[in-house]
Amino acid sequence: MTAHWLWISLAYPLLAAAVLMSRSRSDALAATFLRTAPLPALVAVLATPLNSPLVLPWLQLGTQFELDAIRRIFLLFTSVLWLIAGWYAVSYLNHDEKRQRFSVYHLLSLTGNLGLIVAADIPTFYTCFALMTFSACGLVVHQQDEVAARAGRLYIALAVVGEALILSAMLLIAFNGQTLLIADAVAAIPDSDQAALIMGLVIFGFGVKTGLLPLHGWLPLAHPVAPTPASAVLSGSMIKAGLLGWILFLPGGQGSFPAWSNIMITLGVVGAFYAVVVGLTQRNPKTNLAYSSISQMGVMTICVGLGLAHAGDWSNATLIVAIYALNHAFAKGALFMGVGVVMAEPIQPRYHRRIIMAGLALAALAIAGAPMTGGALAKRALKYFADAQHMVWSPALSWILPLSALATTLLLTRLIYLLYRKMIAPDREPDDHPDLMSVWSVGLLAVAFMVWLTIYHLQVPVSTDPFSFKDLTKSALPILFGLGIAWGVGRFRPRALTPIAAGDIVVIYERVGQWIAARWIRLVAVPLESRTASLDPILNRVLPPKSGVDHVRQADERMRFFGVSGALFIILTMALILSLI
Amino acid sequence: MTWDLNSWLPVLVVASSLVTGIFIFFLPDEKATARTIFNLSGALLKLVLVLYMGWGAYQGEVYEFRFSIVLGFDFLLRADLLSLLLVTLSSVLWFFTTIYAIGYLEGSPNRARFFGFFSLCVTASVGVAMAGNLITFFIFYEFLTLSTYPLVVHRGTEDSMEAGRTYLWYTMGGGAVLFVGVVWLHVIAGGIDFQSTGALRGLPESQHLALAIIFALLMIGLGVKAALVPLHGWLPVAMVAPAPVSALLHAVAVVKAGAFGIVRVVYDVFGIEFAAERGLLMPLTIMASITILYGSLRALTQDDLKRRLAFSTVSQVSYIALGVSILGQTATVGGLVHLVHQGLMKITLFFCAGLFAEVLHVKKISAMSGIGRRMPVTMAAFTIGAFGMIGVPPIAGFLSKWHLGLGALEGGQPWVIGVLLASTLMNAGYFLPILYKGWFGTPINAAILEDKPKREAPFALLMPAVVTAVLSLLAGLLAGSEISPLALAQAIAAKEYLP
Repeated sequence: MTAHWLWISLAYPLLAAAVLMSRSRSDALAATFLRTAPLPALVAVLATPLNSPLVLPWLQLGTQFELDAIRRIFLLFTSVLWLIAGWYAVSYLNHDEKRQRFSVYHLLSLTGNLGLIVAADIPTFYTCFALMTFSACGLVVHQQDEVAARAGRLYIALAVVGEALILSAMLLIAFNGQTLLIADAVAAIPDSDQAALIMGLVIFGFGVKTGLLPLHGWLPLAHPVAPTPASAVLSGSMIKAGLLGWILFLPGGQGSFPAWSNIMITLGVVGAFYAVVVGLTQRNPKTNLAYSSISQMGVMTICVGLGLAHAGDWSNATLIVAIYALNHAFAKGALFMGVGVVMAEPIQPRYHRRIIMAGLALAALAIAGAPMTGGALAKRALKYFADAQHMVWSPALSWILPLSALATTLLLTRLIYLLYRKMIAPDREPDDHPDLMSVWSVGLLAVAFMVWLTIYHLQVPVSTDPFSFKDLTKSALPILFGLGIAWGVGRFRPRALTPIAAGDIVVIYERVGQWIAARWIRLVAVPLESRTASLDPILNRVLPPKSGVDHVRQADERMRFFGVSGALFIILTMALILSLI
Repeated sequence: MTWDLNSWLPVLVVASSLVTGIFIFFLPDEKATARTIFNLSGALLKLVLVLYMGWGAYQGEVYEFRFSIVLGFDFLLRADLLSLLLVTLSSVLWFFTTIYAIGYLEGSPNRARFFGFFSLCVTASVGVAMAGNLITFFIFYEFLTLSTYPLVVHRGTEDSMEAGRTYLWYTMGGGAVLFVGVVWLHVIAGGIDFQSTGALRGLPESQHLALAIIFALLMIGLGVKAALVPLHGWLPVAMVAPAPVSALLHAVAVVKAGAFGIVRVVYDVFGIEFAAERGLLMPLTIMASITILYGSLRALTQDDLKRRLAFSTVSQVSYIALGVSILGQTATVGGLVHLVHQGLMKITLFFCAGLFAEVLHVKKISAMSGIGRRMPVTMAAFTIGAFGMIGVPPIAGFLSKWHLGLGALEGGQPWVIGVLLASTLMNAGYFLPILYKGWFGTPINAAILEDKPKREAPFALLMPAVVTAVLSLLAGLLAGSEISPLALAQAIAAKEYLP
């Protein structure tokens, strides 16, 4: 019976979404669904035995659900974070006209996010991944203005490219392994001639989701425009779906892959620092947080890359990544939700402010890895792991990792400064969202305790001693340095930095895309179209003046004539046949 | 000629719509109720007969009707698994399209003519599906041309007459080429019936060049209806026809007849292994790939919704030819199952396009902003169809792409995956903006802005779109069950390869 919780945890939010779609204006129902949807998944975390698959042969190409040690950690933080975000969303959207639509997309994304964690076969994983990706677009474009439209466009464009890469990876993996079961099919990758290609597709396909450089551009655009609870789950758990994709579909346990290991570590290191630099220039707190996510995902990318170096290290690496992701999920979720809390904070009483500041600081410290936080535990584990690797990277990483903690401290100090400025802004009118604060407090509790609870309750074997004096000081040092630098910078009050356009590299993508579209329309679409009226008017902006097109158009009229086209076809076919006989 | 039920059942299946059609011609235009009763009972009768026959064929019953016509040609109707695939699709979709068409054309002139030819058109497409040899196939194939022409020009406007002329030029030309191929093959090989794994393997080496040319002729003749580039020109023009006609044309009738003919010729006349040995398949793979890319590229810039859908059809139907042209069972499954999947998804899209035009007079994509607010159910059905076309799971289209992709790897042609991916990206490029506009766009169109109490189309129009959307979803979701299109395609594919 207990294995059935796996499908129930998907069926419930899916059914809830279907019910909401079929009704108009049912706020109470929507609230109930938002607040309860991830509960079956949470039960599954606690009740479902590990490694006992549930097989549904009639569904799709034969669906299989399963929970293992890594998946359980992912399912745990995913369901708890969505649970908190669901409660948060109910009060956050209390004045929003479009809250029912939001609820539907929220529930659908949740279904996909949970499903991809428990899916044990390739098509089911891909289905759930797609469901999450496409439904989340509905969350990104929620506010329906030009900014949201642009963010949505870039989100979906990059996501579709990612989906295409992932699909080709899945096809190659399934063909190569002659099975649809993820574990078995992935085990066969190293024996394939195309192992390098497959791994590249997996790394960059899922890299879109994890914000791997240079595919990270959608994050800083999507996070600020999405409603706050959606940003929280987007950064907290949906981008971790890409991480899980790496863990499940990279054959780390089956061999050593130094080339891809080096590439991932390099991209991870660059991402960890580059994102901080760009993020520091931002003025929108949620953009700052998005860059912090890219930076943190960079650290997780480093860890996955380390695991690829030697076959024996993979299980250790994935475990550390999972714990790191868990800590980041709650802390980043709490920071995002904290932005909403700051905006909703009443002017009186004053002591509220200090509580909120303390909460934000706790979450920020957890991400930076201050002593006694879950972040410290994850970071120390990663540090020991990197040291034990004995590879080219080891000495460098013993500097890089603390430096990244320092950088994160700077970035998040900047965030807290930005939020403080917002809070004390004299013309601020607090948003009216009852209960936001209490939901947020639960979120902060999760930040403080979930990592410890997970490690001790699920008996995760992480080989560090987080309470030793050495570890405490080593965790504290980068943060103290960071705070010191921040204090120094603050004292001299430098002129405000000019923000780098949010999404940085994305601007180039957009230019390239527009250039190609304009050329395509001018050189191909217009000449081929017998009636320009039938062209998309949005594209008409790039249309050339009329002359010079007509003779091409006439040629096309002639092409329509069966004689010409038929003869062409025959000649082509014949040529091909003759060349083959 | 035998006189038991098993031999007459195929005839009854064909006749059920033929008789309906003839009766309807004689009904005056204003007798709408009588015509509706005729129409629906004919459609229902056919559905029952087909399901009975399908059930029997699954159990191994043989349904065959044969008599000799001139010059040693046999007229042969037969129900094998492959014909069941198309017959079932045709009769199911015909049933729903009839309901849709009755609602759509309510009160418009010349309905007797329309529904008469409508029935004949389905007769032809069922005949195409159940034809047991090439000459029978050819007869119904041409019959299809003649019975669809009046439907294309139904509106009688300048545009539609022009479209009708183009349509006739293409299809008659294609028919002529096909005829040469069929007769030539008859001269060389005698009267051969369709048979699994092919019938031409035994021919002497000296005939092989002739066979290659015949193959090319047949492919050209069939390629016109299957809209292979550069023979596709009629299809985007013919979308001026009324929505139910476009729906049927694009989903089951004309383009499917072409695609189905390609399936028959490759598997049941030449035999896939024989065709592959002779190197006949590669040109087809290439033509199909070019068509897939070209159709998608052209669809990207269209503003007219039906025209964009038409170019999408050009692209999507070639998935069938692509799957057929790659050696290996998985690719075969992909091609065959797409015959059904494309039908379900595309008919949904055309139904919805018709509803937008009918209810709100929205025909341009640029005018669709915010349409999801006025017609959420229609837009939801459209969304399912569009995501299916892109190949997003769990909708049926994903399974087609999945099998085609795996099949391409199996058949040693990994470059085909590149074609599939490029097409997927472009499909997303021309479908997702429509979905975005529909769901999230700000209404600019007056018809969408105005707040009438009645938001959706009448039940008779809306229901078919919803049903076909649900079917596209279920065909993907329940693919693992025994009665799914996928299971049928797998059963067929298993028989088309030499043991």
